Amino acid sequence: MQRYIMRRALQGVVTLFAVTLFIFFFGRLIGNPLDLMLPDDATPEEFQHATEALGLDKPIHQQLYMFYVAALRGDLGRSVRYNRPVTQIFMERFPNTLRLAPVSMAIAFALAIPLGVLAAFFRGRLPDRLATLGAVLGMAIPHFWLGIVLIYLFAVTWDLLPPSGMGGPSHYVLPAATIGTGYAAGLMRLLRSSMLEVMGSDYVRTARSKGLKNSTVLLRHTMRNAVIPVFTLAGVLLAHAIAGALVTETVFAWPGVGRLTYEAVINRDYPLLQGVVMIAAIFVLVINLGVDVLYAYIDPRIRYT
Amino acid sequence: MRYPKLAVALFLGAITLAAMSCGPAATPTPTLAPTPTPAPTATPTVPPAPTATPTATPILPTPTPTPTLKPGEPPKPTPTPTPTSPPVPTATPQPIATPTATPTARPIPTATATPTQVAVRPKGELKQAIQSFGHQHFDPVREERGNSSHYQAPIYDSLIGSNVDTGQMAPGIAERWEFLSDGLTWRFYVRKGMKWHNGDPVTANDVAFSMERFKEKGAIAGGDIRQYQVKSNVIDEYTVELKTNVVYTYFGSTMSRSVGDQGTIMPKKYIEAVGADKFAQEPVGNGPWKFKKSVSGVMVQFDAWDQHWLARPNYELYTLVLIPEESTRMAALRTGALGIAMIEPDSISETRSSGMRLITNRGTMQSTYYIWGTYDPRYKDGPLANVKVREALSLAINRPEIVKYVMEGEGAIPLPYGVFRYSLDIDLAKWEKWSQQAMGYDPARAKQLMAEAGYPNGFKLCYYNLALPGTSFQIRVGEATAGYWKAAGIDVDLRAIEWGLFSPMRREHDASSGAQKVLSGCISNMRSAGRPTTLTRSHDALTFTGSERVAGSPETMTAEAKEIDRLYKAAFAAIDPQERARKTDAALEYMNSLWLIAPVVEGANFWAVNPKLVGEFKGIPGRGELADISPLIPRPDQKAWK
Repeated sequence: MQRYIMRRALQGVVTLFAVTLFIFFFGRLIGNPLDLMLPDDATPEEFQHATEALGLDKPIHQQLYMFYVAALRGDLGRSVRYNRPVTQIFMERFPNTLRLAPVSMAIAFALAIPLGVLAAFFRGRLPDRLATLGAVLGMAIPHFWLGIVLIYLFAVTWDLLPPSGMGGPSHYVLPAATIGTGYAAGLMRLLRSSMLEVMGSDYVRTARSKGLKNSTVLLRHTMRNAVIPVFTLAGVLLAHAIAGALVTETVFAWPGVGRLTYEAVINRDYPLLQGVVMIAAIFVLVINLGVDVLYAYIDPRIRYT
Repeated sequence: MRYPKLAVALFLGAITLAAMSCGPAATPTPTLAPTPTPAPTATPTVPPAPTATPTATPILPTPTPTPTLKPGEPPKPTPTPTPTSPPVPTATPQPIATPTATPTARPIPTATATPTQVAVRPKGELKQAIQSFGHQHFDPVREERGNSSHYQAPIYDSLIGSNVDTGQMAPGIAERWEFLSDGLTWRFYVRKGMKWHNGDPVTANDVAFSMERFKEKGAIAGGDIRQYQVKSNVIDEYTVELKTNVVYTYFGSTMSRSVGDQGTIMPKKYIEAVGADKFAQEPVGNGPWKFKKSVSGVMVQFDAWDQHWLARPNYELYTLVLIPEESTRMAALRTGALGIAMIEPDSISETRSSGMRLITNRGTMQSTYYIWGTYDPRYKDGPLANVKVREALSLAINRPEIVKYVMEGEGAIPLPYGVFRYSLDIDLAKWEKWSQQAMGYDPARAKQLMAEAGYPNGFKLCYYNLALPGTSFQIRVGEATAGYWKAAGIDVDLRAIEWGLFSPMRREHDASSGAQKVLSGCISNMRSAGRPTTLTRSHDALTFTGSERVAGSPETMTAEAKEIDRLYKAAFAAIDPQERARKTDAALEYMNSLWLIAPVVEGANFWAVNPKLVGEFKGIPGRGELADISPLIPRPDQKAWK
């Protein structure tokens, strides 16, 4: 087991290196931050000075080396736009995303598990078709559009919930529902497929032939095994939610990591973009590793391969 | 693991509970209970005493008295003389003239605005959403005007202020100022009794210190102060002279918030004590609002300050929040989560139909187009090099339709490029008449001109359609413009491009011709910000020394570029106001005759206001933001400020 964890951790380090390398080079394709930072009538000397001040005059490989050396010390540089340490800005936003992500996941599970089970249990019948239709809609509707519709219905028309921003529990409902319904669609479809696969297996047939009640077969024998792939997907989705739901956070003016990433891109804030992506990647890798470990723990077949 | 379901449920449940429990408490929406109208306590302001010396030639008009405040009425800024300061040249490296005049004072009598206090206790929160923050720097030298005005102007005053009625200059930290006859020196009289938010007095030393800060290496704002090597001379505690290295007749304008942020004055003693970094984190100014807190990319908050010379805010708290999505801003406004929201023209009809109030800050910009590189050898024989074709392009645009449908009727037919209805040194009646004729829609004449130029069947035209930051409606203006050109028989190759990618293309010059490498032979959208200084923007665009070089370059010195250089320099160097007005007119006439740049529509900035949370007020001409009038914005229970 330890060897398995070590192997996955090493893979994570390689992935992190690849991600940072990618974002370092491709992030620079979005343009020069000085074009947005300096006034239109800035002189060539002012451009040069600002370029030097940001270290953008150095060869790209030297900038990359400096980035890695500083990152190993925990220094991800200063935001070009805000002139503040990237880690400081990230840590202002991260707790907000961390609060929203589990609520979104809870909504996703609350929708996906009953609907997935129902769809599998009533395969080919009306509940299955309705649940499948819901899942297709959930996957097809863009978060951006859904968020705006929810705002107009629940905030503007019915005045039930706040339209945007962070605050008390009611502020979580709309953004979490927007994220959660999208996640629920995928989870529900996977749970349904997995349930159907397990329901057709020999041991379930055996359980039924023993005369066990449907509910016992479903909950004790089918669900337990069917949930394993769902659990894996949930881990990926949780990591995604923590890395920042960019669109949803922008629509709902939720001051989280997703909106920070959006700001970093539109402002060409290389250090901020690199830092946010790097930290988010670390979280994704750690969560995935955690899920893999739990997965191995749950399924002995993985542990012993 | 025997119970995987249980483990999963416990894991998710624990995270959910933890997250919910550590969420912040709900932020209550401020409820603004009506308050009785207070007794009239405002002190009537006294008309300012003229300060001119007997021998002085007044350049600025005599100020008019400030109207007496009525009970419950927020104070209006003291009416000001509208200093007819000329535009600020921003890209003329060569000295315009070598002054030899003896510096005999030519004092400019200006208004002495009396501090007015309103005995109405500030209360409630004024919450305003904007679509984009700038860098959210609070050190004025670290960020140029743009979005920074939203959050810097509430904290800091300018050396010369802004007349919120006319969009022109008004007293600020300087209660009056003089332009000395040497053509180089400006003498400013600092208002006595002003304090910084930490209690220190505002003095002439702060003015001199601020000028030096703008000249520091690495400063982003203050380009004119560096270019004209402004030197400060503190005469006494409340008098300071600022001297430019060449004749710079528009220096006064540069120091006004109506034009830019270079006149922002900072506290010398505080900055020297705490250092620039701490100052940026915990700024101290002397504006009507005190900095409270800032969260990068999220919000900025201010507390009312009751010792400002002009007005005490009606609200206790002023919060600027960033909501990038327009629909969300409107929803938040309609539900009462916001008092004021910045909107685009698209949302004007929703604003009206939903019972919200529309505030239009008129004349904040012109959406224009530039014709690039007509002197480039690759294109100098092309259609765009022909002035008849260029005029035809303008005549083919139906501007009234653009005003009506794109701007929802809230725009205006433009005056010449960079000229607004509050611009200085212009004959407004003359240019209004010009606008009616030259900016008219005449497709038949356009076709005739194209035929005369040898293009009866049109030609192929590349057109970069883009919006500058903060005015996304320019995309729709561009689409409409392209549509009219297509209707005139021109084969338009419409290229949508983002400003960040387009902007550097203006600076990429061909080594031999000096024209833009990529843009030459094409047309693109551009913009002129609303400023009272008449010639500055067109000078920046047309002069061969600038980055845009629309009329010529140092490598390709066209006859047009030489004439522009001559005419603009003459206007900038004219110290006498009447002479300057004549020369400004001449420069404008020549610029218009070239048709290298044409304004399409005069735009505005729009704010939707929830009338249940915010009282009635008006917008500022030429200024997109509301920061300068934010202390004057009334609560719903107070009398309208109009």
